[in-house]
Amino acid sequence: MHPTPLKVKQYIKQALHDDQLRAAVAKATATAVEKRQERANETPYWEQLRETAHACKKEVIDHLASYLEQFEKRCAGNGIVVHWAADAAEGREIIGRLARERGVKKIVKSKSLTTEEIGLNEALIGAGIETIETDLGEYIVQLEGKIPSHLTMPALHLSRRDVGRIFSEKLGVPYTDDPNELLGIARKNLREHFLTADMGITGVNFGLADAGSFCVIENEANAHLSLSLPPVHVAVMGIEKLIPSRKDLPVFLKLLAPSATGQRSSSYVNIIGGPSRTPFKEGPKEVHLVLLDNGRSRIVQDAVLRESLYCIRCGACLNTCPVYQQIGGHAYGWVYMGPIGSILIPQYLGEDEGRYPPFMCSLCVACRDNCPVQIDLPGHLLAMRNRVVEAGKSLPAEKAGMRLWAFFAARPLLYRFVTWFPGKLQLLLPGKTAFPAPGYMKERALGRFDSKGFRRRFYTHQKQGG
Amino acid sequence: MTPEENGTVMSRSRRSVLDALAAAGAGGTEPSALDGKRSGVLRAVRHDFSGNTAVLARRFAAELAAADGETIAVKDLKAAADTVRNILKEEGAPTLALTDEKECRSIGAMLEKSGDIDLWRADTAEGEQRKARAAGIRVSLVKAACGIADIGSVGFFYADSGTSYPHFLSETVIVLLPSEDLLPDQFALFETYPESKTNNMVMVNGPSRTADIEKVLILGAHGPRRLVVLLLD
Repeated sequence: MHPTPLKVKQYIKQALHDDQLRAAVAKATATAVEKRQERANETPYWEQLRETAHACKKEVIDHLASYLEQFEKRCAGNGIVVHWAADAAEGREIIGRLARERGVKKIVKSKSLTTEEIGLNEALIGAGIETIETDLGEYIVQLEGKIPSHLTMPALHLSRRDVGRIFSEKLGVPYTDDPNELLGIARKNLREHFLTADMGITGVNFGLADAGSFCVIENEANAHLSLSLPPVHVAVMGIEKLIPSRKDLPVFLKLLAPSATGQRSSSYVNIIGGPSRTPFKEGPKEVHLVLLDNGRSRIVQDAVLRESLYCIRCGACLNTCPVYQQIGGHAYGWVYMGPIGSILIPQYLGEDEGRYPPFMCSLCVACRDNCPVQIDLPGHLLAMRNRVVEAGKSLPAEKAGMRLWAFFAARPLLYRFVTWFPGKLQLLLPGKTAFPAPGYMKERALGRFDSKGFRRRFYTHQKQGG
Repeated sequence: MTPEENGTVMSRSRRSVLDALAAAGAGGTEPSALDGKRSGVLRAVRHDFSGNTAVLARRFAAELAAADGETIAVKDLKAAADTVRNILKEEGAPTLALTDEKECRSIGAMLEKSGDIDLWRADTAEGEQRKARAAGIRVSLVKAACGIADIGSVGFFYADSGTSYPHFLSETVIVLLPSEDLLPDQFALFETYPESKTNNMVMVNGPSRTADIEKVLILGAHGPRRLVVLLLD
């Protein structure tokens, strides 16, 4: 069954009861946060990089139509066939048609959230084409029958024992939970697929508008093998992934790897500008680039929230988010998760289906401080919350609660009484117990009301010169 | 112009996307606002790190080592050939795949004289044959177009090498890098080389790796398990 953000409450409960998941997420995110900080600390011009990256993305998104036309023209000049997909269905249709027309039987894919967004694998597999994820984490998750739980660490929710069990069940190999042996099994299987695939599909990290080429960044070499061994390479790129110039690419390269994995540099930075190796009798004979809108042009229409399109999918906001650290990625119910996911979900899926994720945030602003392109994530989350409320999508109990609060807030004397009274009433309770709150107290403790109350504390504080 | 065979539907989508963006005011360009930021970053990067070849070489080796790659300084092609021979011995590999650059050919010729090493030049096979043969050879010798010191990476331009199969399909890749081709940083890469080179390339920082299972780092995910750079004086 497909996950949906409408069921986030159910997913959150499941996640909070899964101790192994929480331990795995906590370990992975803590390591990533620590390493990212080390990299930022050792780079004296880190903030300048962030500001410049922000300025580059602002320039592109504010003038996206012009940059797209320039990019398309230059790509076409380099022999890349450019396709435009207005939505997910059209994206699937284009790629399905390219495969069908070429009699493709097997496709190797490297990790791409954009293809997850359009449900490409299911469509291709449904059309009878063997479609194999080749990033180790994605391969594991595909065998498990789930979607990734992190932007850059897809199988973060699984332990080595889980992976051993999945390999044993799905691949029919003897059980082992040794990561080296597990990788060996995957490497052997996937190498064979790389060598025999008819098409390779990758995502795109950055499109270089002035050069008519695009960049695919990775650590495992699976993306390189996917884009260089099969005779056809199809890359799927969200229209927001452009940067103005190839000369701006180093700014982003210097930010992406440290923010994502804490590495100084990713192991492989591939730049593809067409079927360039054909004269050398090697590489794909055709390179296709699918430019995907799927709601992005609608987001650009919002002068404030368009900033969410600056995202370079590093996952730093997830790693540092206290909510994500507790519940992991599947709890968000879609392919994007964490703070950036909570903003993108309602924008892509609509404020009805995506009404819950913007509230999965404590507004601690750690995500904003860690974002390599300085997206004001908490500001956007607040804006999205307002929209959800304005669209009348908030919960009936929440609406009633706010109306009740507004009633008292507009009547200061009454407000003073109802905030003073519970503190006094609780003195009648035995010991230091709190008021009973059925349901709520099953999973957490309800604190005692402050016997002094906020107003009295505030005035005392002021008198003391605070 | 929307390229080739895409019919009316595709053209309609292209138009609709661009029209929606234009309606949102996302047309035109004003890159001048960006220029100040760009030059500021460049000054900061260069201020933080610049240097002569010896400094670049030291930084390159240190950064590559941090990414689990090895750097061996060699004074000439003869020394490089000896090092390649030693690595083949260490790996117990009888065959060496090599690319077509003249330095690789020279080293190949020196190794061939000894008679105990089987050589295979990637450019002597095509398509499927090249793929299958390259995948079956454990050690390869290739030449880098440049090295990037501040991240310990080597750059390969396909326009020069014509291939990337030996670079990615062998388990151990030996990379010949003349020290005069060391650049301080990635900014210098795009300043030094034209689009025709950098549009079709790959930067490589160490062997392939994964930490997808419980964050345990393992080298040799789908590509090389070992990367040795011979820094040629």
